[in-house]
Amino acid sequence: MTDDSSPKTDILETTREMLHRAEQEIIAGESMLDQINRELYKKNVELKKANDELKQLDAMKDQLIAVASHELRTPASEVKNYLWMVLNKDAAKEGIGDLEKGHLQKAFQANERLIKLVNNILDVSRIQGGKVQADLKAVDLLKAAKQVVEETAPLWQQRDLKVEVMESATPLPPVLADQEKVLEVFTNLISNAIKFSEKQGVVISFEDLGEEVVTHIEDHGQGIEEEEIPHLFQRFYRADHSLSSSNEQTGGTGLGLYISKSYVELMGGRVWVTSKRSKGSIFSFSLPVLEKA
Amino acid sequence: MKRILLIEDEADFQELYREILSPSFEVDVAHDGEEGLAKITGGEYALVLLDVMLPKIDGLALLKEARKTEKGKRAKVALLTNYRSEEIWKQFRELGVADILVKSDLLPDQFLQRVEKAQGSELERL
Repeated sequence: MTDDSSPKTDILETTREMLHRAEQEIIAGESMLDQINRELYKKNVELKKANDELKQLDAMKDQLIAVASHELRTPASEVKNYLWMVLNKDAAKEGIGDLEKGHLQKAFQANERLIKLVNNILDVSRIQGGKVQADLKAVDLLKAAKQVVEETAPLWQQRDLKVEVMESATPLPPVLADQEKVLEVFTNLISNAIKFSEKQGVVISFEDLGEEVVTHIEDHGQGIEEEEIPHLFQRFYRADHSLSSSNEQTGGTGLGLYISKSYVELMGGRVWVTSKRSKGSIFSFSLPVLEKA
Repeated sequence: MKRILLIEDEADFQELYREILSPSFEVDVAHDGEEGLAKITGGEYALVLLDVMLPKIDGLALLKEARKTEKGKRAKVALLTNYRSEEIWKQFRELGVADILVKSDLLPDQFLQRVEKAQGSELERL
């Protein structure tokens, strides 16, 4: 027979109690873990839902910008065409005074800026949404530059400036790029250079570095303050050109340089600027040379 | 006089392009996609100017349908739109459009030049 109150039995009893408590604690812990897990799962579902909603909102925003820009371009196209007709056809027939012609010309230019702004907003939205792709083919940079210089003739002729394209002694190799995007980059950089140039005009030159071709677009304006340079390629940034005598005509969208940089980088190149106050600025971009077969 | 079919639902644009084109071309207008499809597959035109967003049948569906017919296969078509979307333009290019004319980019004389060029161009084999 054993004595129930023996120390051995006490130890056993205490151990049993401890085990029981531990078991209870484990059960409570497990139940707590279950609850945490359930909450985590709920949070996860909520996060997924919020993420889906954000994605949906983003798609809606893209669609809204696409539709709004289409709808805004519609009346702007009509204004553009009718103003051109008045300025170029009706004025010759009916005779319009210089004052009226000047006013119409200003309205035409303001409308052109509106169209450019709408196009740029759409481009920025597409760049940010990662929806821009480059259709890479052989591109002749010299030809592209000359085309844009010709297209921008009304801008530089009106300001009595010259835009010179320097041809190198040896022919430039074609670069691997997207023709449309190269034209857009040239249009942005050349238009900017024209806007900020005074008297001496704009010079476009090329450098063949073997694996890449660098294009330089040099203006002879007031230059850019050093502290402004890092911000130039940011969206909606506009440098302070209050010293420029052409200030009235510098109204841009503040998006052209951001778009140009994004396009050049998408095509595997770089964009940079060097500037000296009172001397002018040189905007440069590189593009990779098309590999020889 | 050569005939041009303008498939365009907006009255203002119909009037504008009729005014620009009429000294050089006879302009026939279709006001929606359904009418446009019937006219492409039923008539002979030097060029079809096709908008993207149209009532009843949109421009892309219209051109796909038209290309299934004998006349529609031979039709010279230029896109005339304010829709700037590379993805959509690509789909139209695959259906053999002669040019893509963006309304807000072109002045009347530039528009007329591009139309002259497109109607004289060789139709790309599909």
